Amino acid sequence: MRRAIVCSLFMGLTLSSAPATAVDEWKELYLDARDKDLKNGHFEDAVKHLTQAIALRPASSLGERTYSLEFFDYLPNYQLGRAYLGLGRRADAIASFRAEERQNFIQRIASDYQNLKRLMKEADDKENQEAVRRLRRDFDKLIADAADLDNRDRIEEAIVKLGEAGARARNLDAAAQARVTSMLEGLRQKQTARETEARLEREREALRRDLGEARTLLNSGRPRDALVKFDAILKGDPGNKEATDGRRDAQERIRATTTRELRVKDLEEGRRLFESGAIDEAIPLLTEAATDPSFTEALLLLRRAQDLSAQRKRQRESERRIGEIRRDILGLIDANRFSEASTRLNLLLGLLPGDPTATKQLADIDERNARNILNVLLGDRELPALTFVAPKLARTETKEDTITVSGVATDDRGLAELTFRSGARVVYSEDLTESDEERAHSFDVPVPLTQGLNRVVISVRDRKGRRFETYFEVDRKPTLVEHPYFYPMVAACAFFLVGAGASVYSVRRRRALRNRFNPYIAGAPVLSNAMFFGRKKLLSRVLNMIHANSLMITGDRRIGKTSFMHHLKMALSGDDGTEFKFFPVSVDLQGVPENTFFHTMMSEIVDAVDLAPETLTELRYRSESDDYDDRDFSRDLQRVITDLKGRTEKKVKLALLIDEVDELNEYSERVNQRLRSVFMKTFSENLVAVMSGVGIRRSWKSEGSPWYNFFDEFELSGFSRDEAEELIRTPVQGVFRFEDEAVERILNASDLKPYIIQKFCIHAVNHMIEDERSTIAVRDVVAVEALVLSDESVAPRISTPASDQPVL
Amino acid sequence: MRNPFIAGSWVRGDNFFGRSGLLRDILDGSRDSLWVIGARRMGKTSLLKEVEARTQASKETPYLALYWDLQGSADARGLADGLIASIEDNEHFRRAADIDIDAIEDLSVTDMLQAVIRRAVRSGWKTLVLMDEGEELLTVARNDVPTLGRLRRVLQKGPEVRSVITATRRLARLDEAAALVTSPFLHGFLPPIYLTPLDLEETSALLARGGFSEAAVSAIAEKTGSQPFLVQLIASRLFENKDLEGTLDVVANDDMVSNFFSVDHQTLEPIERRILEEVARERSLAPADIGSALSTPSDTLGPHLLGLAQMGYLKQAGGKYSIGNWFFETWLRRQSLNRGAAAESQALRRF
Repeated sequence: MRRAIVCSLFMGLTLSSAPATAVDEWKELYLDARDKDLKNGHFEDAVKHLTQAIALRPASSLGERTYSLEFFDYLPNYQLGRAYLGLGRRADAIASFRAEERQNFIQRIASDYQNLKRLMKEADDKENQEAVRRLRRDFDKLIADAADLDNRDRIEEAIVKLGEAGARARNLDAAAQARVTSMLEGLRQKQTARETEARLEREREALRRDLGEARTLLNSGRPRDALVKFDAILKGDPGNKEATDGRRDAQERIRATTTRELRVKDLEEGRRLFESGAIDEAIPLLTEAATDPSFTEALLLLRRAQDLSAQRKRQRESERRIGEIRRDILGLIDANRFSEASTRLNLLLGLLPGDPTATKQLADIDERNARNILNVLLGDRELPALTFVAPKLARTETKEDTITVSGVATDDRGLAELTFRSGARVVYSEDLTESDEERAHSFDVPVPLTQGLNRVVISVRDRKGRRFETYFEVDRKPTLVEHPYFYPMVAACAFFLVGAGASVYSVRRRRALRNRFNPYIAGAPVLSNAMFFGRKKLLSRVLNMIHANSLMITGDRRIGKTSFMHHLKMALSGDDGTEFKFFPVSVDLQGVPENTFFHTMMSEIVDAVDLAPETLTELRYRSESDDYDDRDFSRDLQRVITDLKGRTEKKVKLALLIDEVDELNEYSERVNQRLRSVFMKTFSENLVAVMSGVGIRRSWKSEGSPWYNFFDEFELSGFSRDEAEELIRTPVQGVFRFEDEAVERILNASDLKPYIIQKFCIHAVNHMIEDERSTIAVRDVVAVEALVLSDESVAPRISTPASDQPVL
Repeated sequence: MRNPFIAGSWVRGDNFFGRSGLLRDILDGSRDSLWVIGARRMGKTSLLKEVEARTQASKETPYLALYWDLQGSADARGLADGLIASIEDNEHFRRAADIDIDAIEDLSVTDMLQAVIRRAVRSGWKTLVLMDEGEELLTVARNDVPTLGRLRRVLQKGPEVRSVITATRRLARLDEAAALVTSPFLHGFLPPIYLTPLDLEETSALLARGGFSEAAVSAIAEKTGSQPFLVQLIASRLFENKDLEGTLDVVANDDMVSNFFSVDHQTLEPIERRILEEVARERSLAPADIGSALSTPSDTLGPHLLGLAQMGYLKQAGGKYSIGNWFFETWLRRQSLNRGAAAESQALRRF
């Protein structure tokens, strides 16, 4: 037995020392790298050891102790930077130095910090010199390639090469830029000449086609149409023999088949059309009239008309071609095909020198290319970074089973992986390489904790393979349940509570009687959740539909519409489990005059959604001035929705909950039409409305559709018996009690209308309190019945059960 | 799962079903002036919104679409206000045509439209003007005939602009209401294109979102005659309560639906209303029988019957016409009964 105890002790000591060794391994790795590898020039080994040390303990620290109780400063990224320098990996060295700087410890050790600054500057300078050399080399090669392509008449490829050279030139000097500009100008001229040649070829082709058509027209007995065509051909090609002959032939035929009288008529009609601007319609008539050589006016008018027509045709053709090129450019920019877009832009600028849109588009592309080139050349000199929102402190305590770590990971070249470890266990890992060039990634990761000290290591890697790590220490304290004395205490409490419960009930009842406790509400809207009964089905139905439908809730006065709208607002505010984010806004139209309708609506929106200051200043809405119409409202709504979209990645729905909508019945048709037009706007996809009122007047005088066509309608009617019974019994549960007969009497007399039920309950409870009882009996209900039913707002709807009628 | 059906609001994108032929006519057809005629709640607004969305998403289209809601315009100023509001609402249009609102705000509606078209042409686009609630032009015709004439000239200017108007049959009265000195307004917009009910395939695709049984899908298509609003309304209610019989019954007695039929019915010509009443009473009638019941030659009724069938008020099977959907038939029969009862009580009072 004694031996067994000794063995156990020995094993325990051995096992307990193992973690201590693992915990301190980073010290050995770090000191080996610093004092042996770096000193002996074994840079590869230093990188290996320091990377391992950082994995075990990412954060720097000062005043650490070795086994021999000597103090040292743990600055692993600084040492790693030195090792990288030794290997000639300057960009990695700069990134490591910057990572060390970010930890804010090295600044306290003057000698090390000065050394770090010096090494970093040297590395930076050398990298920059190398970058400029590379840039110059690339530039020269691209210029040579462009010249070669130009010589081989491959103009568009040459322009692409020059575009790339231009991006480099912007990072070099003015002379390089001037060289690119001058070459580009030459190429642009060649491109324009080629475009002109293509246009001329198209025109020649059209001429051949027109000649064929003119001949066909002549042969098919339509000399006037043929003559118009021949004239048009001769306008573009005055020496065309075939057209000259055809023209003569057509003229003769016209003269042979028309009379002077007809030609006079043609001239008059042609002149009228010419003067009214219908040039193309005037030409055939003037052509026919001009076949008579004595009609000099016809000839003059015809020439002017032909000139104008040709000019318009050229303009149309030019606009068509320019439009085509612009569309191409937009498509290429949308598809991120910037080189091709740049070629098209150069072509456009050749045709329209100085065009502001094209100039700006080209400048944007050049700027972008230059930036990209600079980024590539300078290389990646930063480690990825982590910024935390929670927890706030590097060491925290909690009694929870998990701790949520929230923050943002960033890297200027794109993130690759985010990993969370608790001790040695990976608790969360996310691959970020899938997303397009993700440079910032927010996280919100729950990390499970075990009792005692937990070390949570967060590690981020960028797409160049660089890693940055940091950690939190969380001391997980035991909860009450986890304490050993918890269960005995629970048992003792249970005994105590049973006894106390009975006396509490009695005390509560006495106190309720003394304070005249009466929780029912009749008249005012029910705002408290505890007093809101029934309507669960309708609420869930509305919630199920409101993302895509606008709804109208109708119902008698005092049926509970306002209470329903209030609870709908609360439900929408908390509705976070779907792809939609609702921003509910309540608007009460009671007493709102027509001329301030849109101002009131915007006022409520502005109050409810807490807009950003810059959005507020952009709005036309001003609280102090109600000179505000539907157009202002629509424009402001667009901005409000844009603001809301910036707050969430979900689909935004601004939900207008408009109560007392009957007020719209009193407004003019025009305001009603304007309200409808709001729902026709594109932004209305982010807008839903729930309106409530007794009823909307459905007489619509104007020709188009009424606004209420957009609304699906629901009627808010009385409660079901179960809902009504719940409303009667629940509010006083645990304090007073209702006799079953009393409940039955209220149900029958109230027609299951919530307002009347509440009135019955208020008066019946008061009657019971007067009698100093704690049970509401049927005699309390009977005693207040006349009072409740005498209320004007309820009397017309109540039918007393037949059994209650006095028998005469 | 949230209720996927939308009853009332306009739809586009994934929520838009069918109409491929009409979309082709508008976007790729040869006519530059189109009047799409459709009964109320047949989906006219949705059609235009879908056209607008498709042109915005397309890289090939030569068109820049501008949705213009005419309702409430009443006169030249109102039309201009509506047009500027449409341009303000359409950022894509403003950017692509490089429109500066301040520069055009004070122009008359025709100058404004011309300026917009010019800007679009300069940027390489044709303008596709999508005018909704075209009946408003009847009010404009009453108040401001010259503006209507000028508007026609701009809208039918030629290849750089394509105009589409949606409206009910009432728009046909426009040329009587506005005696233009030049061509009648609707001249280039005729013949109209009809916005018919959905076909069975389109209705089934829409209802597939609710995961309903085949029997329920057939019943809904049959009872609604595939009228899109009724299909969406019933599907939405059925999705909530899973009780088809109950839903059909509730919708047939719904005040909102009755009001819709009542207003829609008013847009028809008196002769068309009489045809519908006659067919509803007899359930199914051949054209000759309708003619003799109305004491009108059946060939005179031909265009009316064709129009009513195209708009979904009537359907034709085996050479006979019946009412387009069960709900409308129920409503018509109820109206007829009410009128009968009212006449009877009046006669009794006189007696």
